[in-house]
Amino acid sequence: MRLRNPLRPWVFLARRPGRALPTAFVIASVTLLLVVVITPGNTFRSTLDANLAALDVFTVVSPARRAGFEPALRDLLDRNRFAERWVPVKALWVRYPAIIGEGSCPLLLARPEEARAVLDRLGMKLVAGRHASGPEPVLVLHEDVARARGIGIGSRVGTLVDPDDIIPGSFEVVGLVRGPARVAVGIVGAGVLASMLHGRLPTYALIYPRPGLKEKSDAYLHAARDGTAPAFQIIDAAYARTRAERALKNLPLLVRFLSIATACIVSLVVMLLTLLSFQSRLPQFAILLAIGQRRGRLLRSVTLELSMLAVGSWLLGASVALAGLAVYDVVALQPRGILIHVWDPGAIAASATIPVFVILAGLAVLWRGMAHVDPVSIIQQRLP
Amino acid sequence: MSEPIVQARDLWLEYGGARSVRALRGLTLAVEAGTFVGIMGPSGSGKSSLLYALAGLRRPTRGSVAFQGAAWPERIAHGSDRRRSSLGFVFQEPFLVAHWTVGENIAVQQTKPNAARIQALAASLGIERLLDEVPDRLSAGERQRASIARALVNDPMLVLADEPTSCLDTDSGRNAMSVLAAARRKAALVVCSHDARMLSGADIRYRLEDGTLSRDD
Ligand SMILES: Nc1ncnc2c1ncn2[C@@H]1O[C@H](COP(=O)(O)OP(=O)(O)OP(=O)(O)O)[C@@H](O)[C@H]1O
Ligand SMILES: [Mg+2]
Repeated sequence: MRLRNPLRPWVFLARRPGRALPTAFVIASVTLLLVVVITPGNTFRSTLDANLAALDVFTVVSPARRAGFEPALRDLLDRNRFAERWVPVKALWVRYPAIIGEGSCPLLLARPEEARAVLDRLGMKLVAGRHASGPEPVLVLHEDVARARGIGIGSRVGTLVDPDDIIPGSFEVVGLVRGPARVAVGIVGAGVLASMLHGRLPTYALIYPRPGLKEKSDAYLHAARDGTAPAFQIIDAAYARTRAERALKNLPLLVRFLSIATACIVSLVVMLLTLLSFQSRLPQFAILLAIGQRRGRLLRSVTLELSMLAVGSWLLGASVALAGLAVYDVVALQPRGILIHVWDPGAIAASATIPVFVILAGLAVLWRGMAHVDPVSIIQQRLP
Repeated sequence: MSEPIVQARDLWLEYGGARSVRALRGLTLAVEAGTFVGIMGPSGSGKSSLLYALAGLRRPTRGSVAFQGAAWPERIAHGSDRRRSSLGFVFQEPFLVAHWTVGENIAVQQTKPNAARIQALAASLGIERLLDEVPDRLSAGERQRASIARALVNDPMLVLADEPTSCLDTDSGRNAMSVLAAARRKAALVVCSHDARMLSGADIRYRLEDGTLSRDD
C-alpha cells in the first residue's frame, strides 16, 4: 500500500473525470468565445499603430504661414541641433479599406535615393518588384495596403484612374515592401505629369532626428517661430494618435461590458454545476466532518481542486481560441490586409475574469454548503 | 479516581418535528480511560442518539457532555475543534468515501502518516489485502471492518462504536471486538450493541431503556 494523502486536490478530478467535465466544458468554451470576440477588436489600434509607425521614426512638417520653404524656414531647419538632416518631400495619404471604414497611411514622394532612404530608415524590405526610379510617377507600397486595396505590381492609383482617390494624377505600383510601418514612397518623375504634380502637391520637409533625440527635435520644431507665430505645421504622430484614440475611446467600454457580462453568466452556470456536484458529494463531506476531519482542511482541498479545474479549463479554452484566431488570421484576415494581433494580452486578461469568478462563485457555494451541513442527518439518511 | 474522558450529566435529547421523541431522558454517564463500557438496548432505544451526543454531533436539549474536561462547542459538526482528532467513531453504517481506496479512507484520519500502523491494524481485522481496493468492491462486513480501522488508526482518547459488528459473523465479530477492546489500553471505549455476546468483554455493561441507563450485571 502506498500511503498518500487522499485529500490531494487532483485525486477527485483524476478518479471521477466525468463529474468535472461539464464545468470544464462550460469554462473552456466560454473562454474561447470571449477571446475570439475580443481579440479582433485590436485591429483598430494595431492598424493605427502601423499607419503611424513611420511618423514615430521621423517628423514631417510644412510651412505654417508661407507657400514654401523659404530661406528663413530653411535656416530654422538647418539650425535644429537634434536633427541629422532634413529633406524636402511631397506628402499625401494612401487610403485603404479597414475592417470598418478606411485607414490611411502616409505616402512620401521624394527623389529616388531619398525614397529608398525612407524605407531603409523604417527597416522595410522590398519583397516584390523594384524600388521607385525612372522618369514616370511610380510608387512602392506596403504589401498589406496593396492587399487591402486589391492592387499589385503594375496597378495604377490616382485620380486619373479612380476619381475617388486622393492621390492626384496616376502612379504605377512598381514594388511591394514588408515591415512594421504601413507606408508608401514614390517619385514624381520627370514627365509631363511631374510639373502638374509639383504644382498640386503641398510641400513638406522630412526631418531625420538624431538617434534618441526625436522628442527634442520635435520640441524644437514646435517652438520654432516665424515672426511671432509658429513657423511649422507638424504632421504629428501624437496628434494623429490622440484623434484616433478619441474615436476608439468607447471600444474598451464594450469589451469590458462583454467580458463582465459573460463572466457573470458563466459564473452562475458554474455555480449551479458546483452546487449540483457539491450536493452529490455532500454525504462524503458529512462523513469526513463526522469522523473529525477539520472543515478548513476539506475546504482547502476542494478549493484547490476547483481552482485547478477552473484554471486548467481556462488555459485550454484560451489556447484553442489562440490557435483558431491564428488560423483565421492566416486564412481570412491577412489576405485582405487586415491587421490583428492574435496574441492580445488584454483579451486574455479579460477572459481571466471567468476562472476568477468561477472560483469565487464555487467557493461561496462550498462555504455555504459546508457551514450548513448536518453530518448526522446525512448519516441517518443512510446515503453512501 | 482519575478524571473521566467523557462525562454526560442529566442528558436530555429530544427530537422535534411532527412526532416529538424523547430519545434520552436525564441520562448520566462517565467513562474513564482504560474502561470498556458496553451499552445494550433494543432498536429505537436511543443508542445511536447517545453516541452522537457523546461525540458532540448532536446537541443535547438539556444537560451537558464534557470531553477531556470541557464541553463541546455548539457547532461541533462544522469541524473546528482540535479535540475531534482524538475521538474515533464507528458509525452504525460503514460509510467510506467512494473514490478513495480503503487504505486512503483509513489514512485520512491519521494526523501523522504511518503506513505500518495502517497495515498492522488492517491485518488484525483481516482486511490487509483490501487496502488498495475501492469501497464499491467490498462486502458490507469488510466495509465495517475498514471503518473500525479508520476509527482506531489515530490512537484516539475515546472510541465510540455503534453496532460495530452488525454486518459481521460471530467469529469475525468477536475478533473485531477484541481489536476494539485492545484500544482501551490507551483510551476509553463505549460500544453499543443489541447483541449481548459482543459485549462480553466489557468492564461495565449498561442497559438503555426509555432513554435512561441502568447497570446490567
Ligand atoms: N433525526 C431524528 N428525528 C426524529 N426522531 C429521531 C431522529 N433520530 C432518531 N429518532 C428517534 O429517536 C429514537 C432513538 O433513535 P436511535 O437511532 O438513537 O435508536 P437506536 O437505539 O440507535 O436504534 P437502532 O438499534 O435501530 O439503531 C427512535 O425512536 C427514533 O425514531
Ligand atoms: Mg442506532
